[in-house]
Amino acid sequence: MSLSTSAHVNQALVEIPSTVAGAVDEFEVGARLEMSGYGDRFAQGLGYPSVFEHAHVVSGFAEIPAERRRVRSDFGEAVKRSLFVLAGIVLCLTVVTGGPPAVALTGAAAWVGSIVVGSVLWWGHGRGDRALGSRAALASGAVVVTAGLVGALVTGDPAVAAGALWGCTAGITMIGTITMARVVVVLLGALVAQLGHLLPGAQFDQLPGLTILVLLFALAIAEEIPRARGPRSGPTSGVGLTAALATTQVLAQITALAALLDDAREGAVLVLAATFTVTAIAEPLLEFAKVSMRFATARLTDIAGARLATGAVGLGWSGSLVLAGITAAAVVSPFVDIPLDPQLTAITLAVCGVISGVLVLLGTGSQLGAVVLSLAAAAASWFVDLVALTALPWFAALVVAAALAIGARRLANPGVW
Amino acid sequence: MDIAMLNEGTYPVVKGGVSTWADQLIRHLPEHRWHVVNLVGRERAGVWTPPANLASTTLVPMWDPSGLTLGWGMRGRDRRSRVRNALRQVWRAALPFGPDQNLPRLRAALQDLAEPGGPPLGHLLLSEGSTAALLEAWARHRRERPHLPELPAALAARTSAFADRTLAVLGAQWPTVDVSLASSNGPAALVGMARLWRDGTPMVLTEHGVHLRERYLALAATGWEWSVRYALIALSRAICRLAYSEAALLTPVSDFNGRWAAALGADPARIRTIPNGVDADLFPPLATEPTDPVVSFVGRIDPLKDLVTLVEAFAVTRTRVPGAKLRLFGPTPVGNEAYRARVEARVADLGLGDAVVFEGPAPSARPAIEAGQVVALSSISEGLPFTVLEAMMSGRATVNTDVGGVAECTGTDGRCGVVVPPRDPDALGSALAELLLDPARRRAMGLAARERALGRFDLQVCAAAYRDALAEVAAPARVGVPQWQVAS
Repeated sequence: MSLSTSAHVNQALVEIPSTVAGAVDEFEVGARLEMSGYGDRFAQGLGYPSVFEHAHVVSGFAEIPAERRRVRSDFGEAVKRSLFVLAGIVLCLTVVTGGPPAVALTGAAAWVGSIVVGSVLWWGHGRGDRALGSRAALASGAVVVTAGLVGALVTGDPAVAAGALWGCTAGITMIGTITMARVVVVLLGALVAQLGHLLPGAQFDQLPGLTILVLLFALAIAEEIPRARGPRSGPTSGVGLTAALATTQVLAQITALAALLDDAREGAVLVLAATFTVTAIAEPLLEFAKVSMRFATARLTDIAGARLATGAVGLGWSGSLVLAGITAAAVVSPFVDIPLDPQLTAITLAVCGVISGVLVLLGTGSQLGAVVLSLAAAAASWFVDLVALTALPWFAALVVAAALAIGARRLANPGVW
Repeated sequence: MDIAMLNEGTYPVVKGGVSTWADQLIRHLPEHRWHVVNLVGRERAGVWTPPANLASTTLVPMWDPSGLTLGWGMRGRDRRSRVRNALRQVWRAALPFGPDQNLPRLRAALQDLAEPGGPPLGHLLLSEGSTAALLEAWARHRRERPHLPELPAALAARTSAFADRTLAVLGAQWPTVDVSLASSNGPAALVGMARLWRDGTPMVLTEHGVHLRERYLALAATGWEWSVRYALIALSRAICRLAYSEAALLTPVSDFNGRWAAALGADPARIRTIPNGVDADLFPPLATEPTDPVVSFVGRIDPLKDLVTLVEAFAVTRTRVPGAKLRLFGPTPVGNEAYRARVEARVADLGLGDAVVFEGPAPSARPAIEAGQVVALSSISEGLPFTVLEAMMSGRATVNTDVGGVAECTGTDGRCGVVVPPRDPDALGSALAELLLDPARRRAMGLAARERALGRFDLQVCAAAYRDALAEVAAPARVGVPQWQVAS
């Protein structure tokens, strides 16, 4: 054996400092020395009883490296997602032929599709079983699209099916990285569809939007099918529960929205504008909140300070969502010539508060919390609608306060740092 | 007797060294009923045919996302408070300040966490978490060690996310047994300690690789911040030391592992090395060898196997044995594709071309051993590798790197196998060439290796040693008073 040849020792003298650099203690130095070929026999060749004594001596090389406190940001990604969602909403709206009920049905189909498909895909990601998640997403997507087609036949409005298609497309695309090309396609599609909508010619107005929505859906499915064929690594238990919870959550939210829109009547357009705005800006705001949170927690070393700072960020996040919603309603108000009266303001605030609270809970990993909040909001909304319309301002205040509290509490939890 | 085998990510969901050992042990101790408890990640599907005496298998997921927690303090207020206090004590023990009272403090804290009742421990740890406790303990610890950096809350949260997943296994539920056998330190041993504290079930702790040593190396490879690694290692080290003191018997597979256990504070009197065993009937002596000068390798394509060095060594061998071939038998695990590409690139760089063949997974080690005149092992870290023992039992000459318990397999005199320093292509390549050029020496080495394997590494010997050890540990425990009942 060529142990402790002078060449080996010389090589060791050169290598050892870099071999042990950054080790946390002498045992790690020992482990690294052994792994690099400088084990017991090498140490004994140098006169040490064992590698541990050798490690003790050379651990002086293991200086603590300086740590940079960088805060990574994915704003670009968040903005892409935001544009994707907004353009998709515009696309769906361009194919609506009916009145507010058709708009509501289209929105509901898109909402259900995106939440259910996205949830099961996300579940698969979290379990490290993308194939199973993909299969569940394709299956649930098929159910949603079929329901959308039936809805379209019943209502006579193709927009309902378009909404379902878009929801599934968004659910699949939003999990993972959205390419800029995909965003550009949707934006251009929305632009072309809008032009088609505005140009004269009754047959042309829906066709571009529908075509683009079908193509986007086909593209998303074509990408997902190979993933669904991948190897599975675990049992399927949990995916059904995830899908059920996601469906319950979104249906409860739709129920709450329907109850509140019932009271808004012709002002529903303002509430819907607020809803779309909150949904679309949630991603960039979430990223901003995360960056702020990381910035604070990368500098604070006491738990109380960190909780206070992150709680404030959460408060700001929830508050910004609600504020963005009510601002959107206020901006749209003069254009549609519908005043944002106190009752409409309360309804808008309540809707934005519920959406904000649910988004914060989902964004911080509490699906069950999102379901509970949605169900509570649905029950309360129907109660207000049927029994206690005068309590609407109090209900709105309560919802907004709850949303702010959820934001503050969820972000102050170290589990989400 | 009912025995629990406590594994981490091995039998029955993956194949390989520890899993082979587990399967052999269960089959060769048929008089006992076995219950396997396996801490699992992604792999959940069994890949072994269950032996008749395998009574139950419990999979404990360690890394599943938990998106279903409410996160509100509605249930088990007292329990939450106790968990919070226990976490504080755990981190104070891991990152001490002042006189060393670590182990008693850690034991008491972990006993609190392991206490049954209330919401599931995993859910409690997800909603409570260690972050506050870690920050507090770090600040105290740093008062004595001012050279340590400050620990920002973000890093404490990241550290806690991993640490809490480990601690959550204390709440794992599994059948009642007479004795538990943990196949590694760390989380698997935590599972065993929880049961020991609850009802007095004694634990035997074996180690194939030294858990803590592997944690050091794995964490160093992550590139994580120094303070995160420091805190995680501090906790792992404290848990490993506690397990060494709580286990009734330590049965490392090699003296090398035992030496690490002793260095970490284990009582040498309770360390009894039980080497892995190979079924001599499955590995009878090979009567023939390939006519061509072939070196074979058996193992997964993995950085720990250091195949780059093996390829470089083989280039050295080829300068003396121009017709030599290197056949690599083994799978490329998911995630190791880049490493395989690196090995292939090195093959191309050295102009070895068709002389190096990636054969893929073999149905067993036997055909791979049979394929070579010499079997090579180039690892930089090993426990007591089955491939070396199986090659020796088959009567093949081997050249191996001197890591872990490899020299205990072959001896160091070169009679039953050659050992060379790791990461030394010249030494490995020269040793391979010398054996390829000397058939008489190969034959003599094969015979001596078979003889040594029969004497020390026969499966019957290994099984008998475990039979004795388990019986010895279980006997006094049956008449003892459960510690948990005493504590409450």
